[in-house]
Amino acid sequence: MKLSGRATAILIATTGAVAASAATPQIVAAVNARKANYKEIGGAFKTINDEIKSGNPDMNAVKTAARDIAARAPQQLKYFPKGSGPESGIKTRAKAVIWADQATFLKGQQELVAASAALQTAAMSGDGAALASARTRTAAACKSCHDRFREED
Amino acid sequence: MSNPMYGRRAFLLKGALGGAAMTVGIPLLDAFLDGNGAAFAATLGGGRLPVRFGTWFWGCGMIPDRWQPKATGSGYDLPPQLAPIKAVQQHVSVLSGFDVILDGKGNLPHISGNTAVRTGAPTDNWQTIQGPTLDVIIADAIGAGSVFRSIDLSADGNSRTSYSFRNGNSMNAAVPTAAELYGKLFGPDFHDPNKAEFTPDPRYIARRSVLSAVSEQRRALLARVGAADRARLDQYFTAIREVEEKLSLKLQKPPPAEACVLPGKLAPSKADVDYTDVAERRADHKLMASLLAMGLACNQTRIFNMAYSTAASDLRRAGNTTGYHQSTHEELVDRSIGYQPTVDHFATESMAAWADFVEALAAIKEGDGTLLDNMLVFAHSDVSYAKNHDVTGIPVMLAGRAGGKVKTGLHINAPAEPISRIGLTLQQVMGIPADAWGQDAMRTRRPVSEILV
Repeated sequence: MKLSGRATAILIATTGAVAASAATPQIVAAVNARKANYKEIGGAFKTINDEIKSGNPDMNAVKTAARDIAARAPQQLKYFPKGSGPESGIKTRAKAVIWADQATFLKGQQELVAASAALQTAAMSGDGAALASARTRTAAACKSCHDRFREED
Repeated sequence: MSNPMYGRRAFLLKGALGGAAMTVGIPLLDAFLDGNGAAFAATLGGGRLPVRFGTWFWGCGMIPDRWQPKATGSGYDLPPQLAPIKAVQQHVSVLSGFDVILDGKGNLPHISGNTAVRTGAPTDNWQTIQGPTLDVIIADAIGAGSVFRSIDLSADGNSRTSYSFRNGNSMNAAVPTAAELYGKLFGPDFHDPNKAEFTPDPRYIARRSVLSAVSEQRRALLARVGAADRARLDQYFTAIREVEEKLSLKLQKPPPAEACVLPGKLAPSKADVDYTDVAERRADHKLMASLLAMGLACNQTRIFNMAYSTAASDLRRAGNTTGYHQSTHEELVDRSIGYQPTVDHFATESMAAWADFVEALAAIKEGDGTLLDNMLVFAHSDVSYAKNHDVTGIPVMLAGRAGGKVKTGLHINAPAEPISRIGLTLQQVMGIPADAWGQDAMRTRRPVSEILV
């Protein structure tokens, strides 16, 4: 059967709508939670970066932001249940490879947890060099996952 | 004294008036008191002086390095922002490091933290809170034996500045000025509990009778409606019950209260007071604290909420258009001192006001100690670090010994522990049989045992 362009468009739109509505409330909640959590982690990391760049960081800001990242990082894994990828119909930049290559994804997440814990330790110590090093490690942990598992904007 | 003969109902004589039930109080008898004549509260369901509960709120948090003590335990150090509490430090415990756990939720500044501290679960607005604020839970349990189940106060002159909610649709409006508070506590309806004579006001007998007459219809209506309407009616009838209780109390001679002294009338307040001016705010707040303390001593209420400033604090200095909250966002960190100086000023001023409040409660002698010894006051903010509006490490302080159940003068630091542990502890101290509190990641069964006697 050959479909006209208009019919195809309608079919795509309808399928999309069906897919979107097919996601369970738990899947929708998980996707929303991981987006919110990553957004907060990103904001906190920007705070730390900006403070380090200032050359004389406000350690009150650095400490609280590092604590926030360290508290949020271990939460991330539970927000990637099976079915919450692109097939859910929900707008998400999570690639299907997350679930196809769980071992690598899991390893990347564990590195984020370890790096953010080290970042918090460095922030609490007040040691500028240790802080800069922990910042670099955390940034690398973010980037390696983004490169492999996240769609470009 | 636990003899049920001498329970609260022993004060009541029941009868009928025009076919409607009525209740009339009888004079206080010696039989209702203990040997010292000090345990009048036995007639209200307990053998000791009443223990009261209250909250004290300030907006915009603090600067951690300038607020949080370094030493834990007793005799903790007082960093610059806490220095104003020196005179009352022995009454105040500092609880630092407790977190609001957002668990996949965004931090909606000024709301996520405040809703989580008060309801045990963060939400994006007050309309979607998942349960009543903890003051309401406690008021429902212990608030019935006084004239007002709860008194909500805001020192900013705005009756809508309140963080006390029965549910998302039902905020407890605040008394916004000292003048209004005086009228509410000590106006024409006030009965001095220490006066020998007492005459029940016929107006209350009539009102009480009308309410009693509709109780059967009330029950019948509840049985007929669906769940949503039942919830609405339940909320409505809760308010009605409060009125009934209040009227019942108006028909009884109030039990004596040794510390109760009717305050003198207030001087007329100045016209057009600008309560955002931190100096005006502090002065009116101090007056409100004294009136509230006497209201508590006179058993007008056992529960209160005081909002010293709004979430996203509205304070400013006279002559300045930029206030506290705006400064947290816009003032540059002075790198030579490591903090925002204007923000530091307002955070310190807020602690000075907290010290005023504690001092007012500690100034009233009651029994062998003070009014404050028979209370528990829970002070907290909406955020931790003012500049970032974080909700990790929201500052908390407790004042009072809760009738001997709570230790004071301690600093407890518990990084990454859910702040709902404090809310659970407060409920348990106030006699609520709760073994858990909070939702999702904030759910806890562990009270802060370090403060318990």
